[in-house]
Amino acid sequence: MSGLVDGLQAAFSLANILALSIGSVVGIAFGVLPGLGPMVGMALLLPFTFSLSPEVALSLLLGVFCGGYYGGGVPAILLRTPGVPSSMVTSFDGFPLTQRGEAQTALSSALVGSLGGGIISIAILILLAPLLSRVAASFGSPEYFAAAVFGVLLVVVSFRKQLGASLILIGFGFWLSTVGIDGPTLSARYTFGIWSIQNGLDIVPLVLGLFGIGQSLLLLEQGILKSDHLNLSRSSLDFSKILGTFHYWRTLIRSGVIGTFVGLLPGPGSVLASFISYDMAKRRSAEPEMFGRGAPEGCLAAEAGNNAVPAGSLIPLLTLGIPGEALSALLLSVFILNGIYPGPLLLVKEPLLISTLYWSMLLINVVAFFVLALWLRPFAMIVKAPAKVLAVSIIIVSLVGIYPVNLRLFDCGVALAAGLFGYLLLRMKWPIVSLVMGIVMGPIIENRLRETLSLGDGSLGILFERPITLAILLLSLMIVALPLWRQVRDRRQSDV
Amino acid sequence: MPRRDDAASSADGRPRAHDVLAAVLGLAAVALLAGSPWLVDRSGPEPFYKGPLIFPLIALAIMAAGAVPAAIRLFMARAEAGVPLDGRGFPWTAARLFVLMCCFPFALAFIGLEASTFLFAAAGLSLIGHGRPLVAVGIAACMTAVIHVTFKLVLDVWFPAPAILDLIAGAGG
Repeated sequence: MSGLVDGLQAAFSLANILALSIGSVVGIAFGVLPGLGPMVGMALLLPFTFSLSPEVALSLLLGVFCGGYYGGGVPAILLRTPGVPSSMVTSFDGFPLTQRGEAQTALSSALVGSLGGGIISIAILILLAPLLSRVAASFGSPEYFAAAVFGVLLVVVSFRKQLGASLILIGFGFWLSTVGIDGPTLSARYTFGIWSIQNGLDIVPLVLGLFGIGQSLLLLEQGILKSDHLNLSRSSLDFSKILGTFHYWRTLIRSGVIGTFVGLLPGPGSVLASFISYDMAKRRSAEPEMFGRGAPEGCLAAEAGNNAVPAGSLIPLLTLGIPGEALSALLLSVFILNGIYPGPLLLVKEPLLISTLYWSMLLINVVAFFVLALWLRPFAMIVKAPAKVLAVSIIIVSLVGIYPVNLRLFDCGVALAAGLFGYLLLRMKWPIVSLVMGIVMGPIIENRLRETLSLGDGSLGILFERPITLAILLLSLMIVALPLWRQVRDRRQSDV
Repeated sequence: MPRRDDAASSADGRPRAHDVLAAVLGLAAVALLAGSPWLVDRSGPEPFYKGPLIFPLIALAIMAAGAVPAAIRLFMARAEAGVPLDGRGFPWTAARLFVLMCCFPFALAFIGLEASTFLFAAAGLSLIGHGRPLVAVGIAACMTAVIHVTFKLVLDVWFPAPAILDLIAGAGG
């Protein structure tokens, strides 16, 4: 209890409030911009976190993470152009409402959905994290290794239509994480005699290159919007419309819970959370025929589902050290850069940090809600920002942000190379998330693999001797075999 | 007559560029796999399973395995088919900006943060054809001011003195 009070005090410190507010505003702005999204915002702010304390740095990035989902719904409703992929579901009902002149109803539902989903997921996070942490406390290296492999497998399987590409990128990410001096053995790996590579490839230039520079180059070609019409009658949200949305409180709670549990699983992410929440709301609705024609309940369900994902993805991150998606993988890198290693002991060792994180997430949701509700039109107008100016600005900020970290031109070179590769992957729609997961998860899996092999005297047989690892391995086998089995069954049925 | 895009697609309808990229990455992985014993220092006393080579080999094997289907598709495809990326042509604008930005880090070290930001923002915007030159200069000036305030005044990030100042001081002294 005292931990929660201390966390509340830390969360209300000026630096933290400032960081989470800036993060939320940046997140909303990047979420509103179709084609950019919170990942670019987080990548851009990553270099700024080095001079900050861990809780303030995390609040800044969490603000972008959550704010991005808040912002993504705005262009989806007003222009049928989702700012973030998961907001596509919001546009199903949001845009028809806008066409009927009820944009305020749609925006109210979406914002209340986002706020409700966020708060519900934080409550589940607070309840579930200690429980999972207690289970994880009995984990040894083999269990961690199995859990990490399970997480990576889920990511690969979630891109089953691009299985080859996903495998290549995960492998490439793993390999990139091995470049440089190997910590335990002090052996040089793949340095090709270049002195600057000895310290390895820093995650900051890699991520900034892949997302900041790569996405900007793509933005330059594709622009932001095809539509130029903004149907917004007021500059702020019509608060009188909010009361009406509470009529759907059951949908709100259900969608929040669904979003949290989908976020808990590595791989599927917010798009699936939105779809499932929307589908469930439609099935349970008294007027299912209105869904797709402008049902406020649909907007509420979709936004509650996707905004519950950030807190959901924090559960495996904090308790097992396994990020659920690329955005939480970036958060993991902030923990590691600050010398904090998420895992079951984190909740015991860093209770203040964790409770500050909980309160900060709550505050981020409140701040993002009010910032967007009060300055709705200015944020919506961001979509009219010239793509060329944005692209040049993002590339310059990325390079300026990277250079002072180590004062090495080499890092800028890494970022530019990663940017070129990222551009290619984004243009070809390859699952770039797999690459980031590979880079972040690589060192974790490698260490756990070595420890597991050491315990088993060089044999992986130890994985089959422990009940938890055996259960995780069986689960892994299931998630790989199930889609294959379905594919074979569908093929047989179509043949018949 | 088939469209160029159709002719350049693999059996599953995906453009062949996907397969080419996958195959290139797969080939690179195979080359690194073969060269790994020489590219990784294995002079330590550790057994193989604790050593520095096991995980990179697994990573490269995953890459190579992922590229096998694409390589097979590519091998089976007709030789005359082209490999357009997505039918949208070569991104000249992005390429021009990228080449310019490759010089930016050197300028950052040589002439300093503000001068390089202003020069490259103005040049970048002009290069990609954003408005009149005067507009580009105005935007570049605003961008420079924002970067100076954010990095130097608010975040107090230290940037080394521009190398050109050392050169001038050296020439003067």
